[in-house]
Amino acid sequence: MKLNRKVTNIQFIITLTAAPFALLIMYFSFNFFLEREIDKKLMLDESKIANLIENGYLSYKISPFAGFRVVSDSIAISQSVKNEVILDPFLNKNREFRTLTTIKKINGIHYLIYVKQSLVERKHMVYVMVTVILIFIVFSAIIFQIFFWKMQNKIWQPFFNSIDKLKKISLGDETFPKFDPSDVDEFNMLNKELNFMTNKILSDYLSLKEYAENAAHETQTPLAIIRLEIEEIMQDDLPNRVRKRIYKVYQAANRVSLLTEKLLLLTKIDNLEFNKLEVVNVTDLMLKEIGELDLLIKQKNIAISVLVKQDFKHSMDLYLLSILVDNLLSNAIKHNFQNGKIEIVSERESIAIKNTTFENVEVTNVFKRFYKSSKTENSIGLGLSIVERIAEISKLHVKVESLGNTITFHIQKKIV
Amino acid sequence: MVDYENRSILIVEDEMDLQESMRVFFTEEGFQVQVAKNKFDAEDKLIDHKFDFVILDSGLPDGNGLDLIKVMKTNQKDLGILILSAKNSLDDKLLGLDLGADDYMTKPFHIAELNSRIKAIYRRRQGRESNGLKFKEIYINLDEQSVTVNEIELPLTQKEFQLLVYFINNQRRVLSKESISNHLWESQSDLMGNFDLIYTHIKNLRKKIEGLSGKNYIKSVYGMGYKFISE
Repeated sequence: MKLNRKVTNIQFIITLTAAPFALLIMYFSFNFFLEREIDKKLMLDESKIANLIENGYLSYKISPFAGFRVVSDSIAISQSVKNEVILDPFLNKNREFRTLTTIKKINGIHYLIYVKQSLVERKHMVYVMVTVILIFIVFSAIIFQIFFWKMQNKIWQPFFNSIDKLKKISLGDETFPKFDPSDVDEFNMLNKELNFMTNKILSDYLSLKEYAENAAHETQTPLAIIRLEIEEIMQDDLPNRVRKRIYKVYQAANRVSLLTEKLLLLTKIDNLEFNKLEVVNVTDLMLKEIGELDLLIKQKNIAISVLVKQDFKHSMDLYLLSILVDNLLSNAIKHNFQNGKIEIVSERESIAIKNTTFENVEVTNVFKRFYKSSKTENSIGLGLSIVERIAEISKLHVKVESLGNTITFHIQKKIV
Repeated sequence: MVDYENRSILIVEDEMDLQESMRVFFTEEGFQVQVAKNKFDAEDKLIDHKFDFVILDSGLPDGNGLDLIKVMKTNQKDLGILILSAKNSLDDKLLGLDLGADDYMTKPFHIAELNSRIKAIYRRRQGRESNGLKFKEIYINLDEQSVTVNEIELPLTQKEFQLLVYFINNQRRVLSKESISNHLWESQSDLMGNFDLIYTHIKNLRKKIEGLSGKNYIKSVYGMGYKFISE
């Protein structure tokens, strides 16, 4: 869920949860204050009546809701306010009234004065007020949410711009986008850090690339000298003992050279230097490579069968694909035994290479760099690591299955 | 027929040991060799002399060697250029070939391979009439990719043909199995796993030549490789 949506949702939930409590508080507050106002009015009316009595007014019933009468002197002077339901003579209906009853001594006589005030108006007033406020709250909550949501999108825009720029960053481009300053401090801080971080990554990447290339240059040149000089020594008439030793040195030099070359290739793959994406037919290239390696296959008398249910096409760098196919096929030949088998099955979304092998393979180890099976000569143990890295950066998945004396490599499109 | 005697070659290489080894090798092969250790030096030599080939290191102390190709091609259109680079970079290779270089090799290289490629460049530049190789009774027509022994056609597979050309270009030299494998399968040579295929090809080629000439020119050199030699 988007942060925007989450924040507005939380706000909405809080508003809706708080609203009933607010309404209850409002309802009771209104009631309380209106009651106080009514009581004040009742007291005022009562004072007026007392004043009339004092001035000799003798009619006992001033209105249906106010009046007085003489009571025994023994009744103590008091005042009480209560709610009661009485008949409203105008409407001929029982209604709730607030009644103030006072026992007062005026001109030496005890009087009971009563004043009543209908509570129906008050209730109506409270209901109307609460309803109006409720509508106002809900309406403003909705308006606020819409406005806030729109504003959020606008406010968060610099953040989304930065994310878009980050997504487009590719090390192979060698130039990174600039993260523009923002008028929001937090985004400004983020962009400032992103600029710093990406510049650092780029400069580290460039120096690493330069280092890798320079390291290769610096290693390959002395290796060229070693190899060249040994090849010249090999031309001399040497005793067999010396010849054997010289050849060992020569083989070691070749091995170092091959190792440097493969490690450099892995570095280049890791650095995404091969990034020309095009739709390539993996099946076609596999068939072509089988043709190229035909002699090796015949040499071991390997029976090769290819079942093309459908062509497997994928968008990736052609050079990387050729390395991947070469390595997989040569692996299937190298680790195969005389009169062994290779079966290739091509489907729309995958290709599988199954081969017989002379050893039990631990599938968890096959992709480890420098992992070598005990029985293979001249292997530096990087071929399948290269396969795995190529697959990884080309959105492919390599699955390995080992069963008895067969091993199968499934290359399939990665499900995103 | 091709004659490499007295053909002139300029080796532009800043690594002095490597430069010296190549100078000695090509001098022994009969070439007139001059050397340069940087771009400035190379430009100087190119103005003073007319060369048949240039072996050009791409990474020179005073700049990219590839910049020299334009100058070379302006002064002398038929100059054969082979780039020698420490970088195994496809872009670099394509750039070099686009600029007009004939071939591209990466370090470390086998000197026999360099020799073979230099000779191939020369033959290509000389045209049809030079495109043949002769060794005693063996004649190789490089255009038609055919071989005759005592004027009788010798049927060879493509790899056997490549192998024979490589041997004749580097006759009397011990060629290691690695160097042969590299020549026949180039970058794929490390996928081979072993040299069994080379043994098979050599055995077959030897048998085929012997069948027509009665002589075995391919000698095994104990523990190292093979040598193509008449005696």
